[in-house]
Amino acid sequence: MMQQGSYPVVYNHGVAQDTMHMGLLVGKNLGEEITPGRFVNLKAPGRPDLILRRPISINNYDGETGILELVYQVKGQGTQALAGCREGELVDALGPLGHGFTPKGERNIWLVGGGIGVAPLRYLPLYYKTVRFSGIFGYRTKDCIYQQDDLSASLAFADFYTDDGSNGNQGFVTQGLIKRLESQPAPDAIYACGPVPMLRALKELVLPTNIPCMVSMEERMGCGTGVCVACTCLIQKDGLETRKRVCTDGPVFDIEEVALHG
Amino acid sequence: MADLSVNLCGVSLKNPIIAASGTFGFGREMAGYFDLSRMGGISSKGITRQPRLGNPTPRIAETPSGCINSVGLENPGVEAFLRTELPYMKTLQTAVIVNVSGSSLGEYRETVAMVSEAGADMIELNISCPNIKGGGMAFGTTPQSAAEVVREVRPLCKMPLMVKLSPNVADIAAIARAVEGEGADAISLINTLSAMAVDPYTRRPILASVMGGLSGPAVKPIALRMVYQVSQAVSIPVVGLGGVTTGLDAAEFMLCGATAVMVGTASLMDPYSCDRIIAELNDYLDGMGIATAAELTGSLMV
Repeated sequence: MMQQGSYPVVYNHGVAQDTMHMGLLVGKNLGEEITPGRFVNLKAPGRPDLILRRPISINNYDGETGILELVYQVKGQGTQALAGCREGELVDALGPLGHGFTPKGERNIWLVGGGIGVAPLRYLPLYYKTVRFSGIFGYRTKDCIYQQDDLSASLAFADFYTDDGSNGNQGFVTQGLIKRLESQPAPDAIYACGPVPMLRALKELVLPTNIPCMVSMEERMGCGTGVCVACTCLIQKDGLETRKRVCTDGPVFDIEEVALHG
Repeated sequence: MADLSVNLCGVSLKNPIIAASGTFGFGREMAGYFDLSRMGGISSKGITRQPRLGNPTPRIAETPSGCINSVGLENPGVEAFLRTELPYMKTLQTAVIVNVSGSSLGEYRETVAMVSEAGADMIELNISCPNIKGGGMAFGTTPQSAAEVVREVRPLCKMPLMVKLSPNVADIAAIARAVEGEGADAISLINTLSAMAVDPYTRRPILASVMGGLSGPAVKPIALRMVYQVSQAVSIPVVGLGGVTTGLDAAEFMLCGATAVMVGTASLMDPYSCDRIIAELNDYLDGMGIATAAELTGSLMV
């Protein structure tokens, strides 16, 4: 288990608008724990005044090189501090944390991602090599797209959509999903990550199809370890409402039971 | 190696470091990070009579050297707590403190009686949660209402009763004296400071509940001042908390009069914080040539 440690930055460069790709040397042969859909919780380097860690999803991990890849959006002070990290600097990371995507016998899975939510999905085809993955990805505009060639190479099909049509097809991922569902057999499951409006549209679309769909949720987190109970999401199941922690019960949930507000 | 043990109103603690309520769950998650038998004690997440879903999200906002939360006492309710969580906590070989909250006197009475029946080392009566409507902090903001709730539950509590005070008051010493007068065995302070955070770009408050409670290093100087004032005002033991992040912070609270110290937000920053703080407190005592942690209490030279 990595648990907590300070790891050297191997690289840290821009891959899209306000989007960075960081490699951290966390150690070899940790593939049993560093699985798709989990996340690491990073301290903002050089900023002890930013007391909370930043949860960043796992973009890839190579057990032979020991490099953990993260793709993160530069959004606030903490991610700005991360973006300023140079090669060789140490980043304090806790993790991997949470419960990720775990295929159970599905052979044909479609990934549906939006914006920075594509980042954790990239690791799935690289990790579960016996599953046939395809993907439908949406972005605001062409400048927001990252790892496009890489995704295309690892997926049976990879459809790219932009809101403004500046790259690939114009439209939303849900429109892309409808097209694919009309033209070929349904997948065994859909795995998704993206902004809440996208997930809400996705939920409306997939519920009647009975295709199992797992989503990775995002919420403002405190600890990442399950103790502060800040990051819960509303679960509606069998007529009962409960709350589950995104950090430890998730971040991956069945789209059927998770309430998508906001 | 200094003698870290302290006596908190008859409960002997291995060391003065207690996990603060709401930052350590019921210990389960933290047990994966270090050996919890090293803790002085653990105060449970706040328990209410009925299960609570808490407030809508976002429930946490980061602020300079601190954070504001508005979890709103999400908890499984006392019955589920007594069934599944308290038995687990009792296996941890550390002092078990059950934090009880409520929104009416009747609710406080029932919950305290049920916990008292089940047994624990202490009850911490939370009359200071800023995040629930119609109660919580409302009880802790005047000497009269604070006294009333303590008076109601004191006869029902067979173990030492610690009362957790709110800093959102005009005269903290008066409230401390009021709860001491009704038989509180100890006082813990401070709970979080009522606060808010704003996103200027969306022009909205960051927390769904608009306001929440500020904690973390940012509040430490205020907490130290209040612990000092309360220690001067009462003769029962005081447990200090508010932004404790290092062993030196813990020592400062003890110098100001605290018998023990709670660590809260630091556990969110790092799950190992309590363990590290215990070691750092020991290093401080050794470095200063002080033989026992207990002799720090109230030894501030003014």
